[in-house]
Amino acid sequence: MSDSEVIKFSLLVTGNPASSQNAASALQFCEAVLAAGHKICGVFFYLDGVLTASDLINPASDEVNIPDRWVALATQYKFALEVCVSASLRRGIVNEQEAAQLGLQHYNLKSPFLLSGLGQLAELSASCDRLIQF
Amino acid sequence: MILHTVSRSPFNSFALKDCVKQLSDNDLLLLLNDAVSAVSATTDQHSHLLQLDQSKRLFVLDVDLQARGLKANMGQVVSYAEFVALTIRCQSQLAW
Amino acid sequence: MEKKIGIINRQAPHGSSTAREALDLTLAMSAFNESLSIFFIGDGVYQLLAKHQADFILQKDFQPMLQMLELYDVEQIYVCQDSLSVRNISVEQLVIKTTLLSTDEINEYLQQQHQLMSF
Repeated sequence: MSDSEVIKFSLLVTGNPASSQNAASALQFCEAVLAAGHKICGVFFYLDGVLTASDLINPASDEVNIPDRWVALATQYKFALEVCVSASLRRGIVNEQEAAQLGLQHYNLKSPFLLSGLGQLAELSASCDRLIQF
Repeated sequence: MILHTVSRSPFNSFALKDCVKQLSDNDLLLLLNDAVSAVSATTDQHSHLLQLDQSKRLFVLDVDLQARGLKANMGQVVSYAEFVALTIRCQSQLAW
Repeated sequence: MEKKIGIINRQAPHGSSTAREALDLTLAMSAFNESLSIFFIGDGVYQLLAKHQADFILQKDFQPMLQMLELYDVEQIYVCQDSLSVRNISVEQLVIKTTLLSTDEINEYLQQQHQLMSF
């Protein structure tokens, strides 16, 4: 592929946003992809990466808020933040609809993260030129 | 051609050791996060890393070195922008 | 053309959820992609050792799900021969039918994949 070509990237993020640097690396990589003029098809969060989608994450004021940074980037560049639903439910990340179905009193999915099936990862994998994992 | 990325310290994980075993002749290796210590210390994979460096296939992420106060004794020190370019140069990426 | 995807399993089972969730991902991906290759290397080979009794340690026994790979037409299942022998595991002790590969052969197969996911 030539340097001038716009490359479509999808990212697979598995790191815990509070305790692993991988979550921050993915964000910095994503920023570099966009700064180079390439495209992000979407970001798929799996394993402990799904914790990024909790609206209840509240780091101290002198720490970087990784979820907020993802939201800002995704909003500016209009790509989807997909969160695996089964990995989310077992880690306590729930949206309004799942909470109603499961009879839970609370939900905490941060907007605009989306609870998706693994089929969405297959879709992101199929539509991109490069799948990069953190 | 695969871009192998290793993010765990060679003193705390077998990721680098296992990765080096799976490197094919043209593959590239990028060290990031805690794995960057592998280019400032002497690891069990030292001679293998030197060999990779000689064939210009060893890369280290600059900010991960700087964040830890480390200096690279080998490898090409690259930015995130160059990391992106490496992923484009290679067909796929394998995260260790 | 459908992308060839390689899924690499490197983690021991049960100590973390990684192995189980990687298998969930593999089975789900197989519904959308018929060109999956699954690799078990390093501690990943312990996932295949028969007769797990994961319920003893409050974990889910996912070995029945491994059997479903065949049902889902995931037939390219590769195991690192070196990783088995260093762990004193013979191929007869594995819970599913696999193809044994040397490190070099695994390298060759990995080169053929368009995308890799590693767990």
